[in-house]
This record gives sequence, structure tokens and C-alpha cells, in this order.
Amino acid sequence: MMRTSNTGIQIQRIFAPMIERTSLREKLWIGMLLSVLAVGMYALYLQVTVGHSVTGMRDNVVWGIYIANFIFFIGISYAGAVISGLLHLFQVEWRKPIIRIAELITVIATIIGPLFILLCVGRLDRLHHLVLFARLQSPITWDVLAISTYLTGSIIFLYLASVKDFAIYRDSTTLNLSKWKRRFFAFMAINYHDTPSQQKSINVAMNLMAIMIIPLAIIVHSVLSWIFGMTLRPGWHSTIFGPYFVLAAIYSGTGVLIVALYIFRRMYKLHDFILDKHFTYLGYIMLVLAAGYGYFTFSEYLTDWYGSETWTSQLIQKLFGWDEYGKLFLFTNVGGIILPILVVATPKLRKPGWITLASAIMVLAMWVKRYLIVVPTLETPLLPIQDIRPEYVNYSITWVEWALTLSGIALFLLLFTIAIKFMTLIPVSEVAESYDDNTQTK
Amino acid sequence: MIMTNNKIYSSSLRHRRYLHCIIMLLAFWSGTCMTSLTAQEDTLKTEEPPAEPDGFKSKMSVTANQFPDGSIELNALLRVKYDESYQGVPDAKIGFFSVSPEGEELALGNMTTGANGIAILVDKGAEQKTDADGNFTFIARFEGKDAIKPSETDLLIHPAKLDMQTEKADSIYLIRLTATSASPDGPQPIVAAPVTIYVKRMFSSLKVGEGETDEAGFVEIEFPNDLAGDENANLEITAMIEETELYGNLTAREVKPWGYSVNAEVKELPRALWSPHPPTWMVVTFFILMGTVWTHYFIIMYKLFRIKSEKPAAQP
Repeated sequence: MMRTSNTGIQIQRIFAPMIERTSLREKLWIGMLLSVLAVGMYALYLQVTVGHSVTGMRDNVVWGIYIANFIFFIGISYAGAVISGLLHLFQVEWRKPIIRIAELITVIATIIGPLFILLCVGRLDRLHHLVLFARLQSPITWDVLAISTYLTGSIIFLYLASVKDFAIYRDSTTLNLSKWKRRFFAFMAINYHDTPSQQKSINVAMNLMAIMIIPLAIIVHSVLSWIFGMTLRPGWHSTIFGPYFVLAAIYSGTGVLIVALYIFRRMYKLHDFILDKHFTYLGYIMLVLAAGYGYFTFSEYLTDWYGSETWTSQLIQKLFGWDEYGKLFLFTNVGGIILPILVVATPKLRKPGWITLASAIMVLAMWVKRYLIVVPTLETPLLPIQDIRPEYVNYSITWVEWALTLSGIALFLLLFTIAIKFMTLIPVSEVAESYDDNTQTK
Repeated sequence: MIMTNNKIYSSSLRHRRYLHCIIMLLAFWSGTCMTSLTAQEDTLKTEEPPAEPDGFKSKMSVTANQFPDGSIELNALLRVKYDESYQGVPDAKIGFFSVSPEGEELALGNMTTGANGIAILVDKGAEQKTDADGNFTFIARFEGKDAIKPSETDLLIHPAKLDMQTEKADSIYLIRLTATSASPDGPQPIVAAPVTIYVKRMFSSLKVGEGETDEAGFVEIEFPNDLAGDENANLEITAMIEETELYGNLTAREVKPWGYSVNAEVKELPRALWSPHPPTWMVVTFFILMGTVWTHYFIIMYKLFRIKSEKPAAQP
């Protein structure tokens, strides 16, 4: 029988309405998300039956918003992988209330990211060829293997951090659970009763995973960058693309985590657990990452601009040209680098609201940045093109692509909503131990 | 009590506001989607061929290749105007005819157009079908298909031929060509006609030499000796006088072992990025990395199994 402290009971009471039943408000919310998904399904049906001509992708620009979304979602999955992994290894105490949210972001984003690759693939009926005819020397094969391994690791990491909680829910007298849900929690708790040997096993497993998940996450995003970096295209063929992608991923992951914490704190009134200091500390992490990311960005584009190679110059002109991508490029640098640094560096602005606003703008800027990595390069072909329609060279997003992009976001939110039906967003066991230790010390 | 009622009222008002917001969002979303869907349907509709009650006009053109053995190859190209450009019509039946001195049409045969809209017919007994002036008159006719209207065209050419002789002198390859046209007084030389030499490559022909016929209709062209042939060093050489108004194309073709042999034997590729076998270092690195990660996963799974199989201590 797992017992928990008053803090644990308080957390269970907060989340009991979500775990025990589904309110009208939640039903409406889920209905809205499903309606967005339904439009997305119709768009997918059109894309499969009519073909990729319903998207903006053509012979030259063969990648578009789907690949940008893929990089973005895999990037934000870093929120849990690196942040919670690192904080766990360094035994940072303040991490405890936020790790569950971070790990959920990781797992859900890693599920959704690869879906966009499937949307980008022209012949889904040949998808199994990826496995049957895999070439080990192809970056695409590296990506398939790395992401599936990373997803497995993320799920194991989330599960290990949740086993104690499942045992608490199973034995909880606070939660008024239906029979099937109690049986579900009993199944997920795998006979955990917090015996010393079980505690030791779970701690060893957690430490192993925390060590594994960090290099794994770095490898995954490096491999992702090599899909671009291994090609001899202007703007992609760069030796710093691996670390540049990794840094950008941790950075955007931190931003999404801050936004999620702010929303959940307000929505479920978690002010006792998610404190202002969490925003400040994550803000500091974001500040350091913003500086690093800014340095990489400057280094990358300065080298390209200074080299003045013919095709690279064409790309740079596109990115800097006010009539082409100049405005978006400026936004990615101001909103994605300068703004977060200014907000966190200014003591008066170092408040949850301002930090969250800066994070939200930064996350949007980082998404735009992924778009600017993918599209302008493909619009700068290495071979001269003659006598071709403008829409074959210039990419523009169609409503089908927007619908499927919004569906990806809707699915992300839907999976989060479903996850809240099965676990508390604040880990009961971790936080209860921590708070009770503090109380005893006091 | 009033405060409590106010609270309840304000809470219910807030809920109603939430509800209104959600309904408005849904309405906005569905409206946007419907507009987009309609726009998409319109876009799809515009991609369909324009509806023409009396069908598409087709356009036919014919060219001819005259060979030294007297045979004539007729190439008929059938096209329709679609999406602001002419496109070949595949799977269309083309009838080929020659016109007799009496003006009667003699059927040469029917051929079906390929994916590019071209139908080819080789007429081997063409020399017996000249008209009173000693010319050939050919007709290519398309009877129409589905929404494509019928069309036909004719071609008038004078019999002529290009004879080719080859010679190897030391390491120099020579091609001697004589162009003559038929006449009641016997063959007459074709003077000042540009002749081009081609070699067949994988996808198209490569131009390797050119010259012009003299007063005797003769020209000698040197052939390069550094071309890749097949595994027996063979090259398919084609000499052509192209697109003349009077004779059409005059073509002569011969296969000579004048290239260097390219061994077609497939060798086992080395381990490399471009071969089916990845480099050894890559295989080793891959297995070390994946092996390390998945071994850890299995260790963790084992730990979880140990947790599951442990019997709980008796409750005090």
C-alpha cells in the first residue's frame, strides 16, 4: 500500500476532476480539437487521392512546411529530454514540479514530429521500403533509426518517472476512480510497493535513462541536421549544422516548456507548485541558450556572406532581401534572439508573464527559422532553370498544408488533454517527498 | 448572501462567455474551412480540361527518312493544344497511305502513336509507288478519338538516297558519302547538301562530324577514334542530310567496330557511400551506438521486470 503525504493528497485533489471524469468544458475542448483534426483528415484524403499537387511542393521545392514542422516538433521534444535529464543528473531540487510536463512534451512531440515526414512522403504505399531497402549510409535511414530509438527512450523515461505515481493512484483513497481506471493504474504500477529493493531498481533505471537520454537527444537532432548538412546545397552544407540544430532544439524546447508551465499554472491554479522562480530559472537557461544560438546564427551567416560563392550569395540575397524573406529573417533574429535576452536580462521584466510572452514569440520565431532553413535553399537551385512555371521554383503554402499543420498542433494538444486524464501534471511522489523533506527540515 | 449570489452569477456568466467564445471559434473555423474547401474545389475544377462541345482540334505533321535500300520511314506526329501548349496524343490509330499515279489512295498500314504522340511506319516497297512526276505522295490520317477531332496531312518528296562507305586507313576512320536523287536519266548528284554524322548513345544521338557534298554529290568525313563502343567496340553510325524540302531526311546507317570496348561486366562494388555496402567504419559505429543504447533499454526493462516480480512485504 503506497502512502502519500498531505502535499500528495493536495495534488491529487487538484487533478481529481480531470482524472475521475470529463467535464462539459473538456468535452467542448476535445470536440474543437477533433473538428480541426477532421478538416486535417479531409486535407490528407485530398493529398493522397489527388496527389501532392494540392500542396505547394513541386519539382524544385520538394520540401516545405511539413519538414519545417518535423524539425520544430522534434526540437521542442528537447524540453523533457535534455532539461529534465540534466536537472535529474545534477539533482536540481526545483525541477521536480515541472519534469512531468517536460517529459510529456517530449513524448508527444516525438510522436507528432515524424507524422509530418509521412505527410511529406509521396508514396505512402511504399513506406515499408524504408525498412526493406534501408541503406545504412543514407541520412534518412539514420533518422528513422535515431528517432524510433529516441521515442522508445522518451517513453521509457516518462514511464520510469511515473511508476511511483501510478502506484499512488492505484492505492489512492483521494481519487474516486472507476474500476477500469484503477485496474489500469494497477497494471501500470507493475506491483510497485516502494520497498527498498524496488526503490533501488527504479533509481538505477532512472539514472541510466537520464544519462542515456541526453547523448541520444543530441545524436537525434544532429542526425536530423545531417539530412541537410550532407547535401551540397547552399545554406545547408555546413559543418556547424549539427550543433546549431541541437542548440536551437534545446532553446525552442525551453520556450515551449515555459509557455506550457504558464498555461497549466493558470488553468489548474498550480501557483503553490509552479513558482515564479521556475520561470526565472528557466528564463536564465533560455538567456544562455539565446546567446549561444545568436552566436551560431551570426557565425553561420557571416561565413556564408563573406565567402560570396555564387549560389550562396543568391541564397543570402533571398534571406536579406526585404521583398523576399528579409522581414521573416529579421523577425527570427529579433523575436528569436534579441527579445528573450532583453526580457530576461532586465530585472523589471523578469516576471512569469513577460518571460512567457518572450518565450511564445521566440517559439514562433524558431518555427519561422526552420521554414527559412528549408524553403529558400530549395528555391535556389544549383542547376539553372529555364522555361519553367514560377510556381515550380517559388514555394507557397496551400490550405491543405496549413490544415495538416494545424491538425498536428491540435493532435499535440489532444494527446496532452488525454494524458491529463491518466496522470497528474505535478508528479505526486517526487513533489510530496521534496515538500515533506522541506517541512521536516523546517 | 448577495455576495455569494453575485459570485454564482459572475461564475455562470464567465462560463457562458467561455461557451460563446468556443462556439464563435468553431463557427469561424468551420467557415474558414468551408471557404478554403470551396476555393480548393474551384482550383481543382480549373485544372480540368476546358469543356468544348465539339471536341479538341488535333494537328498532324509527317516527316520521312529515305534509306539507301529504297525504304522510307514515315513519322507522323499527332498533337492537341492543351493548357496553352501542344501535347502529343498517345494510343491514337494513324492510317498511312500513298497516292498512285492515278490519284488513288493505297493503304500502307495503320500504326498506333506512342507516349510522345508519334507513330512510325516503314514502307519497304516505296520506289514502286511514285506518281507521274516521279514523286512520292504520302498521307497520314487520324480518324478521331474520344473528344479529339480527326485530322490528316500529306507529304510530297522526291526519291533520293545517301550511300555510305567506310574505310579505315591506319588509325584514321573515314566515311565517304554520296547523295543522289532519282531521275528518268539515272541518279543525279545532290550538290551542296550539309551532311551530319551521328553516333547512337544511351539516350540520344551524338553529333561527331559534318561536311557538305560537292558537285558530284560526294563528301568525305573523318570519324573520331576515341569513342566508347559496346563490349565489342561497335558503334552505330548514322549519316544524315536533314529536313530538306525536296527529299525529307536522307539517312544511311551502319554498325562498325570503331569504338573502344567498354566492359559491361558488373564488378563487385567496394564498401563505399555509393555502393550497396556501407563502409566498414560506418557499420561498426552504427552497431556500437545502437547496441549501447538498446542494451541500456533492455537493462532497464529487466529492472522493471524485477520490480514486477517482487512479492510485496506483508502489511503491518
